[in-house]
Amino acid sequence: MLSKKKIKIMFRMASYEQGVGKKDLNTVRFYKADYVRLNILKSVVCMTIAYALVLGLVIFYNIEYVIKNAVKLPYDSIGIKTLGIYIFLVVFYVFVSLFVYSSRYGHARKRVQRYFKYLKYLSKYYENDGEEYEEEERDDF
Amino acid sequence: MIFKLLELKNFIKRIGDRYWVYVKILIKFVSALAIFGLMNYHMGYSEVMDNVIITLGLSVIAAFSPDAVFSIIVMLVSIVQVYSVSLVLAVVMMVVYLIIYFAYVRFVPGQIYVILAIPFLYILGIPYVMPLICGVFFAPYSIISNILGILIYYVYLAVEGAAGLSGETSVSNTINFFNVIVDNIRGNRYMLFSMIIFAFIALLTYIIRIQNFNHSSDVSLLTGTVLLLVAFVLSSSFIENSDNIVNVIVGVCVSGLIAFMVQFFRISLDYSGVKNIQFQDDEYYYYVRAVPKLSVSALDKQVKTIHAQIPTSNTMNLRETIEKTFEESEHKVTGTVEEDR
Repeated sequence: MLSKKKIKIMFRMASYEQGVGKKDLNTVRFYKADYVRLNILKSVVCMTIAYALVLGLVIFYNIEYVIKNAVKLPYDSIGIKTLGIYIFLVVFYVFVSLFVYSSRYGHARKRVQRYFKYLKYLSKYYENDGEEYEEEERDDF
Repeated sequence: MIFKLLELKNFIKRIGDRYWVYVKILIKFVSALAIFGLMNYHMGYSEVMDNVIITLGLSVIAAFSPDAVFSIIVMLVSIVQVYSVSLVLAVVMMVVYLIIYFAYVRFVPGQIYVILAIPFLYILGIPYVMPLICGVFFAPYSIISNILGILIYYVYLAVEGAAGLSGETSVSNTINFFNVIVDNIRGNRYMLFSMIIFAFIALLTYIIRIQNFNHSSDVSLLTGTVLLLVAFVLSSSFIENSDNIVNVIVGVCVSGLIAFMVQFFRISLDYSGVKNIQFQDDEYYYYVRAVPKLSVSALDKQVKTIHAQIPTSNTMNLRETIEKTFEESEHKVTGTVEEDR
């Protein structure tokens, strides 16, 4: 016999799995610390690429000046400034990534917990040979 | 009026829910066609891209592609257009897009649409809608998207200005050409002012919208629209010395209206039915303010069509039958009366 409750739950689970669930399940494979650390690392790498590209554009813009004064340029101070800005950006991106990815992990874990509750319900439903058992009402994903 | 709008909203929602897959493809196709068409109209440097069949083909591909591919196609088309002016600039444009991706869009992928939409809204004359919508829909990080969108629009504008230069001289592939464009952008005070206004309005709209008072969303949009109007009229007249103040006023008003419509379709609340509830559990005391949504039930129209019956050999004519029956009964009555006599 068709169980309306079971169909509803299976529909919710399927739509979650095919939507945001894919990403969530991938996220919660990691421990929170590992996930956040990995993404901080990725962010720093991406930021480094972006910073290198910006530096490239700046050099390209001033290329005539750079070629003319290649010998006279104060490389020490330019290097220190470039490195200083880079370190500042690294720190900034580390903090932003820490905040963004911690919060994302938290949300993903909550959704996955609800998904597992539904799974548990279904497994008990099948164990009881299709007899529904009372469960507290749950939220949507 | 409000009920008509609510009915329209329900109708659109119903259609959207039922045919979402097709509606989404249609929306993407129309947006892609509009974007490529506008690009060809304003920066039609590339003969390849100016072909109607290619534009249509790209729009179809964009319509059936995932959202991320859609934005990549738009970026690639803009790079191809710039490539026709200068190879150096095309490379620079690609680098700019890469910087934007690595430094910002990677964190908030959805914001690429805001960034890419702003240049096209500028061409349509209604870029002012973006800070209002960002304030209502997104968190304050969308300020960065607004700034980047304006920057990209002014890069296009500078390329458009410099395209004439490349036609007359042979500097199109030199570094000098790049420097001209960068100097043009750096010296553009109106662009800088637009960035500051957009950022401020997006933030202000967001701050007012999250406040705990009735009609906070509407108030935030109204405040944002009025401030946008004042700021852009002043900056147009004093910074740009532009004669297009009427365009700015019309643009801001239309943008405000669009933002109100979007907000209405997003959520419409009935503040006359606000309920303030307080309750507690073991750990917290809750102050809950519940505002019901405005809604109307869909009209249940049942049209009953009555067709005239076409007489057949079996169909009786009612009038004839009734008259016949009457005549028969009259005959019977007169017959019995005569018998009685």
